[in-house]
Amino acid sequence: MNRSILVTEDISLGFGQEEIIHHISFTIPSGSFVGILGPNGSGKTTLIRGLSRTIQPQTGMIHLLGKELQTYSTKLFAQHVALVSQDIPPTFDFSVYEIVLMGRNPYIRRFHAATNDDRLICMKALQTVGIGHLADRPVSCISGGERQRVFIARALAQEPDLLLLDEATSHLDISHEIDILSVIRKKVTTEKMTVLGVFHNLNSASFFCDTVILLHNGNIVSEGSPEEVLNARRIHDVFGAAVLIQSHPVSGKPVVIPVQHKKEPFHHKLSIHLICGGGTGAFLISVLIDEGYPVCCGILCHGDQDLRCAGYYQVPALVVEPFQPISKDLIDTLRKSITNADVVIITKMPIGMGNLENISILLENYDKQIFFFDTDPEPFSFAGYDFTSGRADAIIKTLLTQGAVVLHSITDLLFHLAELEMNMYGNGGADIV
Amino acid sequence: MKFSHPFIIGFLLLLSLFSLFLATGIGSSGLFWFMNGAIQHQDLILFDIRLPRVLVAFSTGLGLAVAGASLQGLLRNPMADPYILGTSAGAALGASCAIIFLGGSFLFVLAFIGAIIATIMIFSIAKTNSGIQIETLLLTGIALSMFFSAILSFMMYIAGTNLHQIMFWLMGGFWMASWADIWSIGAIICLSVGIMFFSRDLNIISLGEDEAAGLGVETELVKHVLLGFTSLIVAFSVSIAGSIGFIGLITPHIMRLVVGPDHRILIPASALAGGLLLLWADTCTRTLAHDMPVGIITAFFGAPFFIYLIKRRRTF
Repeated sequence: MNRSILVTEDISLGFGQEEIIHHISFTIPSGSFVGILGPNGSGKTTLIRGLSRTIQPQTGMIHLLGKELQTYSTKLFAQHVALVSQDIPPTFDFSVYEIVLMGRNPYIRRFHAATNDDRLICMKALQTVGIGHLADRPVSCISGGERQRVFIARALAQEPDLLLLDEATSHLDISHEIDILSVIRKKVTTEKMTVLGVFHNLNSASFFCDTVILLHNGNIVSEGSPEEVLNARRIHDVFGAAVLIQSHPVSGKPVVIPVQHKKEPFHHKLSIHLICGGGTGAFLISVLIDEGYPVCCGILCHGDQDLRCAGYYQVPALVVEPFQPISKDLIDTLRKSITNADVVIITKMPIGMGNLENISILLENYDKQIFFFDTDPEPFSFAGYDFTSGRADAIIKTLLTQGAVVLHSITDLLFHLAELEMNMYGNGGADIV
Repeated sequence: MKFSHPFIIGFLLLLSLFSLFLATGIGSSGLFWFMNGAIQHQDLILFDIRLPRVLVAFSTGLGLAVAGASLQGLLRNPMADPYILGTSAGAALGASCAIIFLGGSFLFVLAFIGAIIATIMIFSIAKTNSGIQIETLLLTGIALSMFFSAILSFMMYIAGTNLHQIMFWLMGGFWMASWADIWSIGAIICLSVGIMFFSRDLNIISLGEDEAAGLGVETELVKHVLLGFTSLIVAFSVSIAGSIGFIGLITPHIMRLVVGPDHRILIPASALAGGLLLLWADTCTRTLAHDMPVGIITAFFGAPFFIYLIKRRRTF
């Protein structure tokens, strides 16, 4: 069972009269990587300042390893807890090694000098973060990413039980951020170090943290595994941002994808049925919805990326379970949907025997305008996407002879849709504000 | 130009001993150590006039350089000098009082009391419940210096015949150095050595106080000790020799170029270099310049050199 390294009970934190963190309680288990998330001004940094003893709690108790935080001597506290803040260049031009050696200060008594052990630990820390070769460089002569690694090496040289990160990787580029967080993650897994870090990047937090704590206006909104905490509704409520949550293709952790969603009402009368799949229709769905066209789509398979997109935009979709034949009822629904639509758009999607009926149904002659959408400027064909030994291509050829039109760009498509709407509904079709 | 740190310290130490020896031998009466008995009162001049003066000049330079180096680190401000906290203005006021009201007696005592009162005032203003605020300390020091200077100017305005004496004292010099100052220079050296034991803390605190606390530095203790010690050093040296400028500002900068910013090596190196600089400045003035105030020499050569340093290196 994991012991808890840090327990906070009902703590309030702030500066002067102002209270920024309001009566929160949480427990950090030993040997875990915990992320603190929240929008700007939610109190993340204030919380870290409280935990690093820079400010004292106005109410409540913080216990580190079972002892009240304020009872630790400065040196003993620094042996247990290390803090890495955002990149601040030092006033004087110390060498990289000198800065890292400062991390050993909690272990060196006054009137004593650093021992060989201290030096070894520092060199090891420098090598751990991958800057052993920079040891003798002045800190003014290295890049921001390298400097931040110097401060992380210094924190590691402190050999802390609890490492506090205050947006320590926010200024780093994607590769440096991943490098450093991986190094820290490894320390957590192999050496049972505990990490509590403020993150701006939700995806980094999701990828590296065991637990995340979501702060909003100085309160804990949610706490748990990234899967539990990071859902689209909550992120919208807390950050005010529209996002899609997908699972990371490798780690399976939630990935937060920001989307632009203008939430336009349907101000077009022309209704569209979209036949797509395998992610070929997602972008079309977002464009058509943003333009204000009523869209429905299908038949889509459960788990299809297009279906997730449709779900996000609340587009009605016909759905079939994976590897199941399409039922008669569903075919009827599809038939109805196509009948109700003014226009049918087909994307260049992979076609197999399972979804062949999506297009073969169009041979039933609905007298609808059909558009094939393919960003590839080649003449339209399902070559390479056709897993029906040519049957799909044959259907396409028939439809093309019956007046279907191939379009290669969104602009073209929107132009044709507008033209069609004009013909069908006249000028009153689109009431664009 | 890269020498090991022990080599640099050893070299400075040898140079200091040699300089102390040499400077005692040089003087306006033109005698050297080996001109045995050639001049009247040779022993008197050598041991009762020159030797104490040489020792006082060296120790004062040492103390000012140590105070400058530690204040620059502590205040995280490369422009800080030992007089930035208003101690010297207090001392000057005390000295002027002695000159005007007591005809110049008790000058040392009053200067020292003035320095201590100024220091206590600044500390009590800058101190809050959560400790000494560095920014407040700096601003208070500057403001109080101006306040004391205003009083000083007023006193000079009404001083009349004593004006010349006050001016002379303010420029700084070692005419009055004697064996009676041995206790003061002993104190300066002890305080300087005491500061050296806080070098590692000073390194860390120069990165920022919150950071330092996170690395196990008792920031309030270190600040109190260092500010207390530097103020005492300044009080002693100003009381002996007036406010000699630029030694405390420039020496740490020169030595930072040579040995780097690590205070464990910077402070001893600055101490010896500061001693050397002031010793030779004083030797120059008393042999070549009719004993003009040494403060004129240090400022005259120090200011252009400082500008050269600033132009040469933007970051410190």
